[in-house]
Amino acid sequence: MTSLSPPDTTASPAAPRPSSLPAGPWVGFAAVLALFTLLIGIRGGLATFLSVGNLEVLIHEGTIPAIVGLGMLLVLISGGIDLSVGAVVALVTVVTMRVYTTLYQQWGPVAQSSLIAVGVGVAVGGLCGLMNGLLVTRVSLPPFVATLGMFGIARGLAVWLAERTTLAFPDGATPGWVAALAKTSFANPGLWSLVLLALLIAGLLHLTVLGRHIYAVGSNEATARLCGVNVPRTKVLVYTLSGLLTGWAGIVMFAHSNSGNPTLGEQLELDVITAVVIGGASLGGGKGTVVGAVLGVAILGLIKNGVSLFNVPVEMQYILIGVLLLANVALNRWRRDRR
Amino acid sequence: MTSPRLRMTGIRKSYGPTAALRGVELELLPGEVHALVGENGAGKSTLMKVLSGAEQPDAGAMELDGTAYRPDGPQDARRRGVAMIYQELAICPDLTVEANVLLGLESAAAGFLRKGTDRGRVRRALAELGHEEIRPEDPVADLTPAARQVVEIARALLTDVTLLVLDEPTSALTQEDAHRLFDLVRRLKGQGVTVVYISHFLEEIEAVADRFTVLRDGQAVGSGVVGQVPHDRIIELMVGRAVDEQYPRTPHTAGGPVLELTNLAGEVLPQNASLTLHRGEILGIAGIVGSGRTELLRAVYGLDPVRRGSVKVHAVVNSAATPVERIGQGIGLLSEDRKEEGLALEQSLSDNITLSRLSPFSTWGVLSRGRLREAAESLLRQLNVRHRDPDQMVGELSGGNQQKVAFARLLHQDADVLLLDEPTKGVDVGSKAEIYRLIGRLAAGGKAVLVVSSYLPELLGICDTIAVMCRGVLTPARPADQWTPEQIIAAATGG
Repeated sequence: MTSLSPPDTTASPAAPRPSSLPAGPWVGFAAVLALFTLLIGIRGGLATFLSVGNLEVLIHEGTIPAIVGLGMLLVLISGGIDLSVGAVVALVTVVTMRVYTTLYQQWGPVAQSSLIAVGVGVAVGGLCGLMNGLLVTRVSLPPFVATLGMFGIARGLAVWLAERTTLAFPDGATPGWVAALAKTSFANPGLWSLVLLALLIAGLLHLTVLGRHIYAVGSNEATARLCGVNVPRTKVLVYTLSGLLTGWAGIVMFAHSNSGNPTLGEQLELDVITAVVIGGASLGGGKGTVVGAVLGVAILGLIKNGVSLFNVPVEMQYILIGVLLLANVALNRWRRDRR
Repeated sequence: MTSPRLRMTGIRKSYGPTAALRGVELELLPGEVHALVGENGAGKSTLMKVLSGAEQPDAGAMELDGTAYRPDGPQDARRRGVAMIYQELAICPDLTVEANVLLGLESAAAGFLRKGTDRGRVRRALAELGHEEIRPEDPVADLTPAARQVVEIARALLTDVTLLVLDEPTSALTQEDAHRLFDLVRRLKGQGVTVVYISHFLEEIEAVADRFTVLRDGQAVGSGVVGQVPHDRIIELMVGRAVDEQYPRTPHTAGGPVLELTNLAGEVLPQNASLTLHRGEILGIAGIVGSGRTELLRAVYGLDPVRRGSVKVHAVVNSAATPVERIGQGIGLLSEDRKEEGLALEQSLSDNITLSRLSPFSTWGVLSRGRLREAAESLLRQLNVRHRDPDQMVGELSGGNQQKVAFARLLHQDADVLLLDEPTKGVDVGSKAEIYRLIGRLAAGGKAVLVVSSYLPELLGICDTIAVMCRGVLTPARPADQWTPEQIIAAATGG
């Protein structure tokens, strides 16, 4: 028996990786920030771009995609995809307004009515996620198809429940917290909720058994099953959590828009998937971090913000985002192949 | 005499009409290394899936340490101390060593991982295996195949394992790593673990195993103590049957060379293959699954990269070519994977057959469906394919008829050099004879045929010359009548 195996392998089994580059999302963030600082600096608008006020705007606009992005992150790590999030956000705003208006008119107290409405709204998001999870596991639909179906159903339900209009608050009955959530400021509770949720999801992914299993299912489902991981339960939990997060994002959207509006959140799913993928998650599953996802949303926000401040046509932002996404994924692939 | 660790009696398992296990009896002793040998398709893997809980037997009983044993899944088997390391390593590439070892067995308090405790468990398991150099926090993606295998074995050792199954564990290992694995197996045996060792390589069995059992056609046909039974006898038990089936031959004579390979090597497999295929010749390539036969055909056809050596077709040397160029040179490939690669099962017979050569049936790029149908229908009749209509879906046909459709495509392509990978895989006996007759007719018509097959009697029955692939290296071809089945098996298993 002669040795016919590939050469190598006397070295230690885990050879140190060749100079590991700084994490992709940070590079992207720095690159985009540098680009706009330079461009806007040349034109002399730097004071606006780097002002505290502009940072507040950036964060305000990023809150909703970031909350949805946390859920999308879980789904992508588990090897799935969720196309329904934008439509679910719209449905949640409509349901919340319907429930609130009804309770207010039949019952009276603004605070209690609005809190119940918020609970129902978040629950509707969770329910949509649960349905997605059951369609993927019990009915064995591909996630793309299951959530594409849910996308249509949720959007249709939202339009139907809103009777094809935008639902406004009853006169003089806007709850106080709506204004607080809608304010462009560091003191916005929506932002704090994002920080809290990000910490929770990061903890879930890295400290709990469920988190470990979410990575395992996305990385190699057959192996996970062989090792006794309850794959269907893991997936149902992932989609339900994603739904609940989307539900909460819907509440924030409800406050931002000051209405129940079935046309909100259009293309939100594509924006969020783009952001999370730029943040290092993979559509193949098994990869992704909370920091990456949040940075991905920040990069997208920065591009939109910078393009508008730089006064170039708005279509430039689409091109920039597209190029960035492709460059990012190509770079990741190249780095992996080099190993 | 110690009581057995495991006793299997009358284990049966069928998949549809094919019986994979036909009443297997097997006895394993505590602290022994028991080799399971047999040809591809003899039922070794199925038997071990039954043992490790991945498959449920149709009939039969198992006893583990004297009590009834009927696992309802791999997890249940593990709880009873039975673990299996699959040939295709079961690893989550994105997770760390630690996470992989612990997968499904994490210690937790209220759902939170106890990382400190777990890291200790992983370190102990790796140390027990003599592989302290593997760091728990490293990603598995960075490990060598050998280290990944250690990770899997560590996973098995995390629970109290009393019976460990290793399915062809050295297939991805270097020589040196294989020796370290043997040491490991001996150490486990010293701790009283029973190890079932599946391998095609008799020398490996000689090196690590105490006893062996030979499986053939879903039955245990013999067992013994390693070292007391000569290799020839074991090979005889593996081959078993006489080459007595009907192999219709059409007289044909070899002409000039059309395909010449010189020291061909691919990415991983093959390592080194040289052969000359002549017009009107049927050349068979024997060898075990995974020895690099399919990869050889794929490299020749341009589906896999050629790293070294040369491919000469019709006296033109172009070693790196795309499938499009190869088809242009008159080469055709019949894939071993009919369902995934060979045929588009949801397309019609006519579309499948004519896909290989559409241009003569189109005008300015517009296809003439009628003429395509006619061409397909004439081939279907010529090959005696049982069908209703050339427009029906290929998936509706039986395996044998599907294979004939795949052949029809090669005929439509009008290839001069046919690369046939397992041409009778999943084909019933009747259709097999028809396929043999067809191959003979093609050779008689001056085509050059290269046949890869795992079924020895078939190669001996239809081929003019045979070469044997072992671990990526091809032996020189010899006339078929100068080989005995035993010699071929010996050459294929490096014995």
